Amino acid sequence: MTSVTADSPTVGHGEGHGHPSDITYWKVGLFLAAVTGLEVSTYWWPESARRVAGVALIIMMVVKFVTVAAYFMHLRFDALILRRVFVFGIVIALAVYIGTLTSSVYWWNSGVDPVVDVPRAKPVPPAPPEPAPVAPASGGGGH
Amino acid sequence: MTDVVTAEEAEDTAQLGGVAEPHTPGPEDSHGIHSGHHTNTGISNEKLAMWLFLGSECLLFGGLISTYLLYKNRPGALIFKDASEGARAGSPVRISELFDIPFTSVSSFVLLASSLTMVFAVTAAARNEQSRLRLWLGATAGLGAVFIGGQVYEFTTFVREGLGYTSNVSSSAFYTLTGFHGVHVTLGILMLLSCLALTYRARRPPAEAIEIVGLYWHFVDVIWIVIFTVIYLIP
Amino acid sequence: MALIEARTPAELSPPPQQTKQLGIFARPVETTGWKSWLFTVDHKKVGILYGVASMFFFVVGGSEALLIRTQLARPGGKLLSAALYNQVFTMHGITLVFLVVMPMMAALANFLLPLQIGARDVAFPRLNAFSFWCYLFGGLFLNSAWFLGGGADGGWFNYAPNSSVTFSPGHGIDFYALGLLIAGIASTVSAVNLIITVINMRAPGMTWMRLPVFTWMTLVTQFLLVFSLPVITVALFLLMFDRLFGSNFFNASLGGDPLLWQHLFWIFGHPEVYIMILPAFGITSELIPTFSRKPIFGYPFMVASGIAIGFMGFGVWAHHMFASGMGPVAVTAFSVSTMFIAVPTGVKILNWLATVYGGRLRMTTSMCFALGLVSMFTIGGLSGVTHALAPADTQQTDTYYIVAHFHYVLFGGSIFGVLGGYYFWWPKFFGHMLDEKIGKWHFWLTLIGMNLTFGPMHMLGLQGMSRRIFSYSDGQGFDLWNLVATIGAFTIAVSLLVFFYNCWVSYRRHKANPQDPGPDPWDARSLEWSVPSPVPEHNFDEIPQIEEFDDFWHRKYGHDENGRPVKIADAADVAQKGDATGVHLPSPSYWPIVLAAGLPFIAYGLIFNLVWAAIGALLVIVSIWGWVIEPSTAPHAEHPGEQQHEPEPEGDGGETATTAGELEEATVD
Repeated sequence: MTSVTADSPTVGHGEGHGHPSDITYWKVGLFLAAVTGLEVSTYWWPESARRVAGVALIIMMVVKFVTVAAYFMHLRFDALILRRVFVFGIVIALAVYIGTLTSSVYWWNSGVDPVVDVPRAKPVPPAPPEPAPVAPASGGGGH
Repeated sequence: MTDVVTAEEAEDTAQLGGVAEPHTPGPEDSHGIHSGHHTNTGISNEKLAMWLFLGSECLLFGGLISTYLLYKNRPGALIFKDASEGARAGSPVRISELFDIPFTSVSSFVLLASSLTMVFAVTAAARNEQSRLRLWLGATAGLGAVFIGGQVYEFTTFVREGLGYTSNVSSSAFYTLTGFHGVHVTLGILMLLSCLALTYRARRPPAEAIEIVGLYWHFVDVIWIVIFTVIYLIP
Repeated sequence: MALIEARTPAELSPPPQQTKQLGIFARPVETTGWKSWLFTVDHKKVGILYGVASMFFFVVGGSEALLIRTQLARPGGKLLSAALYNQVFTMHGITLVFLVVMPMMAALANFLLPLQIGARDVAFPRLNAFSFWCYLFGGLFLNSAWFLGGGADGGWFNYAPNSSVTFSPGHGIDFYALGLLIAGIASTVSAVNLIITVINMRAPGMTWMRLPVFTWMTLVTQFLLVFSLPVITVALFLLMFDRLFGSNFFNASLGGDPLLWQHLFWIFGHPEVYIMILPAFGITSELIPTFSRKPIFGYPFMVASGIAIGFMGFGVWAHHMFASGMGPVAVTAFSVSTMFIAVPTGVKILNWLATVYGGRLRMTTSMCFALGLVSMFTIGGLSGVTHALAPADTQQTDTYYIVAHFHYVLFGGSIFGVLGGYYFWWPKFFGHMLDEKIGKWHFWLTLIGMNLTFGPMHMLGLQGMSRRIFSYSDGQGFDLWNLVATIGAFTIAVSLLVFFYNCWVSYRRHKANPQDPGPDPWDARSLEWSVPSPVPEHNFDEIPQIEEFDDFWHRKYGHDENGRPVKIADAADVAQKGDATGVHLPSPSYWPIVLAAGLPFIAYGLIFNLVWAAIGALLVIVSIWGWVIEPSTAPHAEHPGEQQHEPEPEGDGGETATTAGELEEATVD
């Protein structure tokens, strides 16, 4: 662990209150707008590029997220501890929620196409008062 | 009081730095306390608190997004368009098929633009430019209001098309997630207006407060970036 | 009520000359009497308030426990109906977890954290007061369910579908969801506040590796709170929407997923377990070195293991769900991670034993409780490891074995730690000692009572008695151990009475014949012992300069050539006198309590009639504005003294800037 002096604001204030210039902000804003435009354009991409679009969207989302956090929220120019606190929250959130979504057998993309799978076409748990905790699963759901 | 602005500044920041800060002069000075900030890290308590809070909010929105992802393709996550013509009379569609992507894209641009204006508000406050500050604060709040208006319009359209809050679990999850985000934006607008009001009460703008409100505002924008991609765009 | 040294009248004399402020009525100025408690922002008073309120709820929750044990004492108990029994055990659990153990820790944390790091208050004194009132009103709101149709009845973790309107048509679970949301606001605000305090307000020289272990463990706890509470917030909102607005998040028959509730609950719930135990570990780590006259063994390991527990605490939640049918991969993964988390806990036990080893022990009541914690927690921890083994756990789930396990760690761990801490720090709170002789009675009664109560539950559980069952019949083989457990429960009740008697007698004795315990009655090690007992309102006359770990101890003791401690100074000589004047302190405020009072109104409104919610919302909005435009320190609170402050700029500029900074602190939650 570090000492007090070690986390004192060498990062934070060396350059800290020297904010980036207005021009920089305009450039960042334009960049974000461009990426957003690209994101929106995926809506009209052909069906065959669906998978590529998904990956590209995730990447663009991360880029935008990081850009806003780094420039608009000044994380890039601010003290390290702020970055740590925020990133810690994101990491914990990703870890627990990805854990939840994957560990649950109802992984939301379980290969069952729900549009074809019209309600009650599959065995669905019995009538409402039944405290059945489990809905149909793609497999491996036993005790 | 016009002479030593710097002294005033120092006093103000000292107060911001620590509410209970009657530091005896002496030992601390040798300890590298940074100019004006009587804190160990040199970051004011309020700013650090806001970042911690935002870190915590990541888990809140993470939970809501996960809930939506878990439910969005559930069997039964279908609605029947134009349900007013009798239950299950219309054609079954998924909630995502109701999304009006071009419309929501405009909303996203608006919110993104509000982040940019917020940045300029923060710089104006730091440079002590009252009139520009008011302009940018007002613009940010206005853009936020446009976004909220768009959301209200979107919700009413969906409801008219038969997607009520309780139609199915995916619609509940959708409304809960976007509703929480909308409430956050609304609170942000209130904070911006409060800051705007404060600029009329004080000779110097509450720069630190505006910076912190700005952090909150950008965070709400960042969350929308995620929601827009994960909920709206990814098929 | 002048439990905390009041300012002298001379200091108070500058009358509240109302300079034109932003539309605020006069601020409270009382330093004694009930008003000084209602409107205080002093971290010590807030800490004591937390302690008193948690003791009140301890009595409430303890009485519920006695009802449970009386009902189960004999087969076919008739005291409670099945429905009432469900409410009683649910409210017992909620009360003890959220309204007793957590606030007990908050009491000690609030009181001690600023003292241990050499600060004069927490980072946001008004928010601190707000946290307390929010907790108190949330707790009262939760318990008011008893008078408004019955308490929650789904168990403290309130699994779906039992939490649905179908199975719990009363308002109990609405009270549960809204009450816990209010308590969650209190905990989040308090956690942020304490984290900032430790990060930003340490005395010069108080580096991270010089922080007392209690401060460290409390800090880790607050981080756990900040990052786990939003998860339960999501879950509670979803539950509330299910119940109040008709959504179906947890209704399996309409596509909802009851497992989602379990996941969300336990993502919060498992860190919660460490939230309740880590501060007790910290307390023990203060008591054992003091009464062994040795520095804590392996300080860096102590700290690192605490942090490791905090991190890993987020990765084990699903071990509460082995029987839910998650699938073999998830079960295996969480089983392994659960076994791993026993490692840092084991490191702590080992370090305590190594600290005790070769020490010059003084078996005070505090030390007894600390050693009690080490032994009882080890028992509870070992039975916990047996739950980590999924095959064994599927046998144990929902039996009394589980009940035995978590009471050993929570009662034998958390409560023992807090009680030991109370005996230890009592002179710091109130300026007099607790009676040691009665204290020993208290300790032994508690120890015997708790083992009598919870020990037999291991047997009952392995025999197959399921938990939460309101009755059992003759001939199932449960009679003997149930009776023993009931006797044990009443023994614990008696021990609690002995504790109250001790508080009373010690106070009377002190009143009749005041004896100053001095700043350092235990020959202790950390910074809070370098100020008078009780702690003066301004804490430190002068912020100390810290040179090393256990700085205060090293001011008292040097070493001879064999490394044995040699006294070099008297505690009274190195301690501060507490007589400084003119210290600039945050001023009391009406707004924290007013703001907190608005929240239960909103909650009642959501359940019964939206008119109440409107009134509550109005109260909240008005008080947020009042809060924001009120400077955190009243201008007239500046006293002439050794520390001359620059006069405030005459206009509102400075103040507005200051308070506006707190704007979102007040509004975001």
